[in-house]
Amino acid sequence: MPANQTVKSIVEQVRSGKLTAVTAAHACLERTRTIAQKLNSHLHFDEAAALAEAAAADLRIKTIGADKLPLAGVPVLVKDNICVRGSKTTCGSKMLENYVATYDASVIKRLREAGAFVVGKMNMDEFAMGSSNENSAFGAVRNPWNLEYVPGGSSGGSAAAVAARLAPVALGSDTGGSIRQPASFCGIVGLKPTYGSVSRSGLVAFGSSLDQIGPLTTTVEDAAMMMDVLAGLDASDSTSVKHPQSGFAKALLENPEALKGMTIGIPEEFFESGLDAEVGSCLERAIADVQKAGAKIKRVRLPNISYSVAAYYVIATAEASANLARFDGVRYGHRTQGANLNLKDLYRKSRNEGFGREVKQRIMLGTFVLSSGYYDAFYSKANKVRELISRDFAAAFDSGVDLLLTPTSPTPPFKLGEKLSDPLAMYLSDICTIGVNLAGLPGISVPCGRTKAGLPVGMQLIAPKFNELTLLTGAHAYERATEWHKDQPPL
Amino acid sequence: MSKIQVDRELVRKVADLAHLSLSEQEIGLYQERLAKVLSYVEQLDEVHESLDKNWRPDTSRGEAGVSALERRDVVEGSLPVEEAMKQAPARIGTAFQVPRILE
Amino acid sequence: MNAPLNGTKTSRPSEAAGNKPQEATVLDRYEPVIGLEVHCQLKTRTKLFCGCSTAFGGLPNHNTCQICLGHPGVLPVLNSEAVNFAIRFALAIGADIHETSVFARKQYFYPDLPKGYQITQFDLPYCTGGTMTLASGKTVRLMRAHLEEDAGKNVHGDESSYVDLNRAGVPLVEIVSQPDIRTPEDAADYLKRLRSLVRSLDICDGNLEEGSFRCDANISIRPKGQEQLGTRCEIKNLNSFRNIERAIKYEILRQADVLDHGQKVIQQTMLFDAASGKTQAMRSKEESHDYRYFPEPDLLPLRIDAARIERQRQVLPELPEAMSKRFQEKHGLSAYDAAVLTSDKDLANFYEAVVARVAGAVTEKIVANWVTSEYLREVNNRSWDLTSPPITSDHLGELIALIGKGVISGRIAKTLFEEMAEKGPGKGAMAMVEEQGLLQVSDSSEIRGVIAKVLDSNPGQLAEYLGGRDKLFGFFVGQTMKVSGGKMNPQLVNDVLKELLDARRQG
Repeated sequence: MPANQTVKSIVEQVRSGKLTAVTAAHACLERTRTIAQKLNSHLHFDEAAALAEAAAADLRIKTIGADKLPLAGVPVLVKDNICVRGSKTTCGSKMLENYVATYDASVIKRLREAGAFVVGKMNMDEFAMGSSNENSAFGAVRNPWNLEYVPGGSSGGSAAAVAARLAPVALGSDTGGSIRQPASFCGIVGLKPTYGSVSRSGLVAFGSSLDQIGPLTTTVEDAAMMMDVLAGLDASDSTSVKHPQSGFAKALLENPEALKGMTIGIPEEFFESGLDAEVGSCLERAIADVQKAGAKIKRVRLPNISYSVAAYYVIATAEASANLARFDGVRYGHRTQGANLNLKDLYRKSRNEGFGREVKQRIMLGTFVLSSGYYDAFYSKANKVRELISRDFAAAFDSGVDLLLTPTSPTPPFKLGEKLSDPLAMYLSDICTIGVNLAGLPGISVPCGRTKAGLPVGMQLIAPKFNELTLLTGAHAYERATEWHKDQPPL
Repeated sequence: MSKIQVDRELVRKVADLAHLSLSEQEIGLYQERLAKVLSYVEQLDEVHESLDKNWRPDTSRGEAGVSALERRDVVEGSLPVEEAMKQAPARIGTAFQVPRILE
Repeated sequence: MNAPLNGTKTSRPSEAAGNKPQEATVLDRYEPVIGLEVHCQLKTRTKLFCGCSTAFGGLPNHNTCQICLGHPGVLPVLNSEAVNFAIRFALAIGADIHETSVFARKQYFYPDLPKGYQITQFDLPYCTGGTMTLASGKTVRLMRAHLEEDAGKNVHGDESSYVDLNRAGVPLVEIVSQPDIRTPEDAADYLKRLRSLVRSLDICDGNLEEGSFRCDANISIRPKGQEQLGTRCEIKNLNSFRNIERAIKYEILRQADVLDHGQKVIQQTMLFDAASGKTQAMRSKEESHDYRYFPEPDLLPLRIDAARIERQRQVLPELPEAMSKRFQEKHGLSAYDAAVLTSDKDLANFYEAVVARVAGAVTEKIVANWVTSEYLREVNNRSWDLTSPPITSDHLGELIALIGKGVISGRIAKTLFEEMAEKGPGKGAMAMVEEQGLLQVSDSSEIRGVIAKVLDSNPGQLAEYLGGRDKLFGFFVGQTMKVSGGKMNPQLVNDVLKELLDARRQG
């Protein structure tokens, strides 16, 4: 893959007959062969399967016509918690080391219908639980900007690979920041759509009321093209909603200077204590750039946002403790080899062996907060706080703000191993992104600078529910006004 | 630290509910880590609740008035049984095998 | 709910001593308090949250998919028809249907529960309240009913257990009564009426053996006059009406015995052993039951609006109680006959079809007698399926009409019916009558001849009769019918016999 290919450029070349899906796949695979190992970004890299998929895409392009296929010939990397039929779907866990998905996630069907195809399954924190990709049972992913550093998580493999231009786009999932934070750490664009706008069917659940699939790309325009295809009501996801908006990519072309006249809210809480100085100065410059692009800046407050991490770790782990109960070694998945076990020990040993440390910790936390006597103090309370946080966001938008602007992460990428021993430090690295999931809002991370050490810094924009049009046009206008997205890691 | 005493007994009880057979060493590890996280989570107590007394998270979920999506009662067919059984770690015929459920 | 339960034996204190308390004296001293929980399997084509068939009896795991197997990444989508059926039930018992209800996850580990949790309704069920009226006149209040998915089935072998998930995800309505029931008979009657109701609503086939209608009973007893409730025990999985009554009776005596010995009833779950007729405690799970319910995040709240309720009201069939009233008024039946006939919708339909076929040849009361006695006896003895019985309403109607038309006597009709039941209806009653030469003799001269012979061949009895033993009249009727093979018109036999005897008396 030529290192500067985007979703958009591939579709254009396929349409003009200069490129086929198979040639795009070959380019992708060649680059992957040399680079993926350094990053440990891929969990499943099956060249024959990828080429077969590309050939099927070409056939479709030939029959239907590239003009009618919004993602004609686009190779897509898929986080390994999204089911692709016939391909392993491990969720980065020993529990599912040999699990082969028996159906396609709804997003995979939509991508294929649009002319795209799958070229690899990506490493991730086990069951999407983590912020550094060090919780994968199959080894940590490395940041392409500096291999000593983490790529962020949990969609770390997806982010690292797109940053390294192994493919123009990857799917990730975002429960508390798992698309946006690694996008920020790897210097690319990561979009978490409004809860309900993209089907979760086929996404292995972590926190069902928070999870959302979204794209990681190198440009906002590519994210918009992906959103055009991914969003939609799905009869197999009862929580999915028909998005009231459409035509995101077109809107970007029609309104390239969308920031002009917008009011951008700056939630002060995110700029107070705890913000890394280098990240802080990147953000200050970003705010100035936004202003230069014609937006008004307004300071706002989100009074309960500091409780978002606490509320999140109650709600997400409670849901996860139930979602992960199905992994018992009876119908599929890891089963302990121990002989002469009774049923209970078979369960307990299989689960203890199959799950990693962080996953077990979160199952325990979630089990505890739902257990008799603690439900009200933790689970009920956390849900009330969640509602208060949602109302804080709504109030900010009601005060005449079009978008909110925050850091994506309070720190730049950290070193491998740096935060492993302290669960809280790791959890707090999601403090800027978690509130967006709690409130079900759309958020996007775009590159906005680099540290002195050359590591990427991202800025997050947040929009009201189901207003991806404002989110994407605003982010696109910022991207046009800056150069950060053009930087590529020195691989 | 936490108002809740996270002792080894509590960790054992929770692990039992969660069906995890933790080693003694793991019990110590999770005792420490859970205590730390729970004491952080307890800051939720500080939040002043301004919500209406009748507000419930379950009934207010989803967009206003939107009901759970429903599907028509039409048989869509099942998985071919071999596909359903293929990944079973242990089976007999077309049933999943587990140790004898006693007692 | 099929939570893991394990049986161990507990004995009644007096079993060793060998003096069981008697039912009558127990009921003089203690008042039983009984509440019932019923799981009705809804007759939808597909499961509650996936498109798999609900067909019963297939090979293990042949009706399963990723959703009911609990594969990673799958999501439940609610079966619309199951909700409609549930609404119909709520309407039939006069319950309050809630505009908003919520599904929840009930968590426990068991191999027949693929997801590790059951999707059910917990603190916000779709309906609460409603009542059922029993034969005794007692009104039982219902606490609630809710929708939930069934678990699969574990089969136990010598060394292993085997898991079949065909039933996993089949829709159930769980119906919980208030503890309003006071006698085992009322408990059985409540269940019979509930079964009859769900069958006439056509939402459940009510099959106890196949488990589509399952009952658990909560029982406590308290000294008569005491307000405070005693400690209750739950009896699980009672699979016939007879066993339900037996189990409850036994449990009442067991608890009375415990109290009589100055001991305390322990709250526990019991299993009824039909062979021994005893309940025995199941060993409660080692870990405590902490189901950790919380709202199912994969499903938005279920909102049932007035228009939907109205649409379901429109398609409600005639319910047993209304039908029973109509049978009494329209067909002139006793309350008892009407109750028996309307206890099952197929039986009620059968009765009305026979009435139509008979077309007034005999009264509706006689038809009712035939259906409730002759016909039901064969149904029970031969385990006929009421939906497609081998003797149809046409067959029976033709037969009964022949009595009314004087073609055959009631006795012959009964014999023919038994023959039909044994060998099948063949070409029908009239054809049988002709083939077997059973046409009723209504020729009075032929009858006169036979009776004269009977009188002549029983001179002893005749002399006694003439001497004043009027009772012997019946003897001569019997002899006459016997000689004629039952073919003579019984009314004519009566008339002619009377005439001939009177003549001899005077002569």
